[in-house]
Amino acid sequence: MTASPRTQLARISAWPTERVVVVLIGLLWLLLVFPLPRSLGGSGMLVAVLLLTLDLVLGILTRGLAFAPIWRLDERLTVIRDQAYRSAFRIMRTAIVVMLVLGVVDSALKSFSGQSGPDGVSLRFLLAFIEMLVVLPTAVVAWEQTATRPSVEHGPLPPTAWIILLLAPVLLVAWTALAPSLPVRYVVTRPTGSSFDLTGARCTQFLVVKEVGAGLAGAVGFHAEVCWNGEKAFVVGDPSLPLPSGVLPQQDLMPPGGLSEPELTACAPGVRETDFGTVSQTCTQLIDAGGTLTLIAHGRVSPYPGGIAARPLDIRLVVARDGTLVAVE
Amino acid sequence: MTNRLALARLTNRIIEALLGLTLLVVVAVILMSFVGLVPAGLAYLLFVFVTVFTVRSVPVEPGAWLGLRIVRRALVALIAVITVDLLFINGFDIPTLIALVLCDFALGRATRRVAGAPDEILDERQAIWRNRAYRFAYLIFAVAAGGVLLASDFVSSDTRQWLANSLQRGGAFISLIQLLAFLPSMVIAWTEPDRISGADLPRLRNGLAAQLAGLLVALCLVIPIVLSLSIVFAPMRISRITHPETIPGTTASSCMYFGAREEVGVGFGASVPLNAVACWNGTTAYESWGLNASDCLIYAGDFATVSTLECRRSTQPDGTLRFTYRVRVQSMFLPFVTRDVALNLALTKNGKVLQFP
Repeated sequence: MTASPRTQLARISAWPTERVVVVLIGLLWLLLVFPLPRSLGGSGMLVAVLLLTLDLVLGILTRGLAFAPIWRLDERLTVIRDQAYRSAFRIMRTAIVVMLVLGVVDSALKSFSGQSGPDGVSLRFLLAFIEMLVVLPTAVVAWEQTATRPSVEHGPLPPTAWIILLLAPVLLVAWTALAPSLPVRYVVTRPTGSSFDLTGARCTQFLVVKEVGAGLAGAVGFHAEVCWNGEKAFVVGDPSLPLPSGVLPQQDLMPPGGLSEPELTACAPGVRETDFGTVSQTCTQLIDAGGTLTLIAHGRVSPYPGGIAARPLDIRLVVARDGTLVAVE
Repeated sequence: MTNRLALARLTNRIIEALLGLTLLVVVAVILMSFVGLVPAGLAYLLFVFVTVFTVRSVPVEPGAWLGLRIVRRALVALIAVITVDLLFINGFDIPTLIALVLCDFALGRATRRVAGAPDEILDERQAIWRNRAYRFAYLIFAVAAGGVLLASDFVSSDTRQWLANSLQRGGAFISLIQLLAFLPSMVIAWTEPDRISGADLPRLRNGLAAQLAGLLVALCLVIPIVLSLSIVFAPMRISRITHPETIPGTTASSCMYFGAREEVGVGFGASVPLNAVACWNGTTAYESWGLNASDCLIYAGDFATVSTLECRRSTQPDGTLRFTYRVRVQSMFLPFVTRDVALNLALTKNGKVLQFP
């Protein structure tokens, strides 16, 4: 016999606050690990602070049982906590398998749609992983609390316990003030095994990203298929960066401006680089008399949606006519 | 209560049915591998899975040595070293992986697989220290895995690339799975005093299931050794085919298709193909396709690595075309077991085949 939807709804609405908070954290975690939406549109830090707030609420409601020093706990609470850690470890195994599967799906979607970006674990996945490690034992304690009631025995919470929640707005203000002045770092890769080739020219792909605060405050960048014929280096794949005339033997067979292949060249830092920051950028190319290519990306990077606390960033990629990488700055 | 019992029985039956089905699939795959329908490597991996399940179904005793805390701690230290090594190694290292599997097997015996045991078969004391071990394991995992991920993402773009490479090569994945699957057992092995099995537990009988598990483990170890040695000792299997080929636009020449395949090893080994078309016109013999450097990278290995030693095409002064493609096949289980394989083609300007393959 199963309960009617209305009865089930009534049961859920009667849930204690702890369970509601756990479900909210779970939903935000799923948002982080799920490949869709492809980008958080710069709201990654807001999600992180929201998660931190919910973690703190859960910590307060469980009286910090998961991380309490052993001398503060009696024998029964120690047993409850150890059981919670065991459950947390088992849930973590499943969650990591889910993350791995979704990571594979994410990679497949990335290659299928021709999107680029630096290799490695994305910040969105990293946040989900750390959040899971931090909150799981507390979440298990909170979920089981209605049965074991370890916190209630300690009496009502003092109102001062909630003061720690002020940490969230303080962090947001501090981040808004700090983010524009965080140091930048370059990610430059030249993927191997790229099979793209043109008659009369050799090509290689460059991925160049300039990250603010290791990507936590946004990034500017591009990936570009750079080709060279011994006389000139030039970019292929983006008509907004038009192909110079006479660089390829069969150039007249191509559309005006050259090929339009976003998987070869795109003036964007990569889909995962826009989870924690927004960017508006433009790219231009200059080819000097010696045939050296200078590809310039100029953009404004913000750690939040809407361009709040934005700062300007430029990248210059210089490639000689023989394909030698001259500079990235 | 009755409903719960019925549900438990139903669940058990479903699990048994699934296990039976899995076993049938494994046997079918192994049989198919004998006739070459399925790669032998896949069959061997399935055999390993069956062995793991069989071993896990048999109750074990730690024995005199593994009952000693110092031995268990040495074992845990060894596993930790291998896990870290897997994170940093370049490429997929089968001998290290085998060592890890053997250590995990010993760890299971040393701890009597208490970490994964159902609650019903543990007494209250065992359940308490098992749960405590999980707490320590959780904290260790959080610091280790979280620390590696945080450091790799934030230290520099090189460290980020390093982790990406390690994940692509599989080493980081194996380290992660190792920690997730065995860290609680490692904590139990490290923290418990001597003779963790305790005198209070009845001695286990060496039944049929235990003997079967022992046999499967022995086979798991012996099979790769024997099959790896077959790379050197089994006769090389060579197949070849040639037939005239018409190349559009070539009127003054005659052309021939040359197809050959050399296979070494039984089950574990490699297959090296050569597919090419060469032509001759009375003055010289020349390549049409299939005799280039990129054609010397086509091979398949089952638990063996293949590396190209020589890939050379030349035309002699008398117009004879010569092509040599030589590779070294190396066992992944026994890296000192190697065998060189060569495919040759020598064709005169008049179309006479001097050597093939």
